[in-house]
Amino acid sequence: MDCAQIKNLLSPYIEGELDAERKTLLERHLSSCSACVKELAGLKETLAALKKTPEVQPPPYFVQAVRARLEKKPAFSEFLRKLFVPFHIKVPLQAITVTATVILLVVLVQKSEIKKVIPVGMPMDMDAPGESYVEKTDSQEKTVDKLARTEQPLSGQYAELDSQLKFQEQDGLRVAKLEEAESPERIIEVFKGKAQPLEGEAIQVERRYREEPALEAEADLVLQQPVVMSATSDTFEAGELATKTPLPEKEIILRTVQLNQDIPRLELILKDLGITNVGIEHQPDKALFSFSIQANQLEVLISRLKDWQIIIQPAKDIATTEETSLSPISVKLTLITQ
Amino acid sequence: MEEPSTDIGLIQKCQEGSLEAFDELVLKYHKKVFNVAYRLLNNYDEANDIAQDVFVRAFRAIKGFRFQAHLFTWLYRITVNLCKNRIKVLARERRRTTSLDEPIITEEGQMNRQVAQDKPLPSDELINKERQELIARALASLQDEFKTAVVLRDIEGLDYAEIARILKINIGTVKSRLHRARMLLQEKLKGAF
Repeated sequence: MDCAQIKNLLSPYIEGELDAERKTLLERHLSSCSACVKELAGLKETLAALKKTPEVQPPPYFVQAVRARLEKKPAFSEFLRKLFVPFHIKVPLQAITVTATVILLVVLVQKSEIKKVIPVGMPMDMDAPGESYVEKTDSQEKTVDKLARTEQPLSGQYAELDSQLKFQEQDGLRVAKLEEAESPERIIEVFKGKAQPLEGEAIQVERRYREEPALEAEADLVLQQPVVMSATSDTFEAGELATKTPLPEKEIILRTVQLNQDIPRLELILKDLGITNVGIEHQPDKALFSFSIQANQLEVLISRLKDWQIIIQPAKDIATTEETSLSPISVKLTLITQ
Repeated sequence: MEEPSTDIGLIQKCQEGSLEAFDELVLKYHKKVFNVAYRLLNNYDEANDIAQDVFVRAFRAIKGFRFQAHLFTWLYRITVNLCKNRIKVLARERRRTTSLDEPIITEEGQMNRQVAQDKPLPSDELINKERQELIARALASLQDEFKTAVVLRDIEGLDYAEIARILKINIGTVKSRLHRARMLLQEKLKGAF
């Protein structure tokens, strides 16, 4: 072996990876070649120095910086990506800007035949009881579904939308139309509630009222404390839910539970029921719980919360279930304290 | 090897959306991720940006984490890939503006600009810090794949199997890359010590 070949074997030699034959050849060469011995020593020094490479200290605010980025609303590009995922098409940002792509969002608002129950003391500014956003089959509405998976709660987004857009009655629909968008950034600003949509911008949001009754299973369970008995048939006492409302046999997605008190209690009850997959988002004035629950467990849960009044109301948002393959039922449970 | 049980619990909480749990994972792994990024990019601010990106992306993708690999393997993989992409972008940006002080970054890697020195640095002055500095510069000038092999093996001290999982290559390839990388590194350092 010549020196060049030997040089190639030095690293495997240090790692002890050479077979006996090559090891013997190499060691024989080293015994008579000072240049290769020097080469070997140099490599060993380099490896020792690499091993001692001092650790670099990240900035002290690193964890907070990551957290801050995670808490930021999705970037515009992320928004667009989610928007166009259902259509499996790639839309370059420039193309959107140039062609002033019209984004059509259809929010179906469903009116229920179930009477609204607003017991004494319930805040009247609850977000639109009696109306529900329902996902349907056409593609525009799927757009809305995708939006629902963005980081903000669905109802919050729509509430923002509603507050930002000026609706007009048109053929029984409430429609806010905006054409010729200035820029795509404007769209996201509107969605973030940072800007008022200007007349003529390329956002069209339709909000339709439908006269069909909501499915019974698509219901919000509004638990209210203290117990306020109501004479209407839509008010249930704890434990009576199953007899009044046909619950699906499959798993129910109990997506959002807003609580402004008794947070630890609900946590304990859920733990007791063996529901471990609970997401809790603490907010200044309330906590949002998200979890899945079996229909029979829901009954138990309600019975455990027996000092809370249960009122059936139409759902305000329906959880999308493609990812979970569960029954397409969303139950919103809201605990409101007086 | 099993995932540490504390990680499993934290990962599951993250999968349920807990940012608090993720904070703990960031705290636990950020130094490692940061250092790998720093060694690959040879720039503190770039390393900071990329390391943050690693965790932001990790959190957004953690629902898909199936415990088939260690969390740190997964984080290292994201780190290596993001650094690779970043080096390409930096190379494009720096093609326009070049500085005599900075190494030339090409898509194939970095190489030090050859500048005539007034006088050679005397080898007896090259102690510890300077030696580290020289090695770091030599390392930075290696092609990505060689640099990555040296960083993961010789600086981070990972074993072949872990590196193979991170880079998604077989162990034989890891070994040959590493040995080749060390030889190239040695050539660049020749005469420096």
